[in-house]
Amino acid sequence: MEKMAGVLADRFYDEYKFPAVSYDAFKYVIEFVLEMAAGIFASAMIAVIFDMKWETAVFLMIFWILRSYAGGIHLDAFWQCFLFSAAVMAGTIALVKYLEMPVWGSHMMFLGGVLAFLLTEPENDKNRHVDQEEDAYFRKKLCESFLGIAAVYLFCIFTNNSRYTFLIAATVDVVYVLMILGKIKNGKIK
Amino acid sequence: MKKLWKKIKENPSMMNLFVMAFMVYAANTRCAWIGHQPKMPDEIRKFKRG
Repeated sequence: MEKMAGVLADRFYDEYKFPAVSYDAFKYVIEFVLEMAAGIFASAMIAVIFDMKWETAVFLMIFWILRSYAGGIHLDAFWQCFLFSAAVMAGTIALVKYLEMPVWGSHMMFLGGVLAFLLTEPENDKNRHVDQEEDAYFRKKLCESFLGIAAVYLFCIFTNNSRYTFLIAATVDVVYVLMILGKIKNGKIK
Repeated sequence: MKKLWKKIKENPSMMNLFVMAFMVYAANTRCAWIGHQPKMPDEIRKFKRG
């Protein structure tokens, strides 16, 4: 993906003339957009295969928001990370589709997941250095995100939508597990 | 698609805006995307709000 981003950046950087952006930053954005497009395409495929379009969309939104501020595991190569993310997404969607979770089970999973997040240090990646100021900002945003997710979760409870309560709870837990895996990969937990 | 590319070519600032929007987003998140994290250039930090 980095090579493809390099080819596209070589072609478009001179052609469009970006005065405010260096070549490296431009290439980073191209690589980021390509990886995001690949991820969204994989999500769409999973949604169609499992016939769970809205569920996949909700999973992706919550996963994306939480990962944005909590961090977590990133594998070294794009294709490894891509396959791992797709497997995690497909696994969670399959779980929500085929497993009937009682509502109290979802509540336990959701509350446990949120509590675990609040008690655990977020995990940064070596490719994205985070300073103290940024860390405080991301923690604040993570708490705000949990308020929003909790509001959606409560709405699902009041509308008796047990599939979505399980989906939201499972997503929060999955992101937490990925954060712990990131700590293990980075050698913070042995 | 061709029309869109033509429009983008005629107005390079639109592309600039697109790139800038992604830079602001990348600067204000711990992990920009759920998948792979490419090495972020330091220049992108100037777009942070926090």
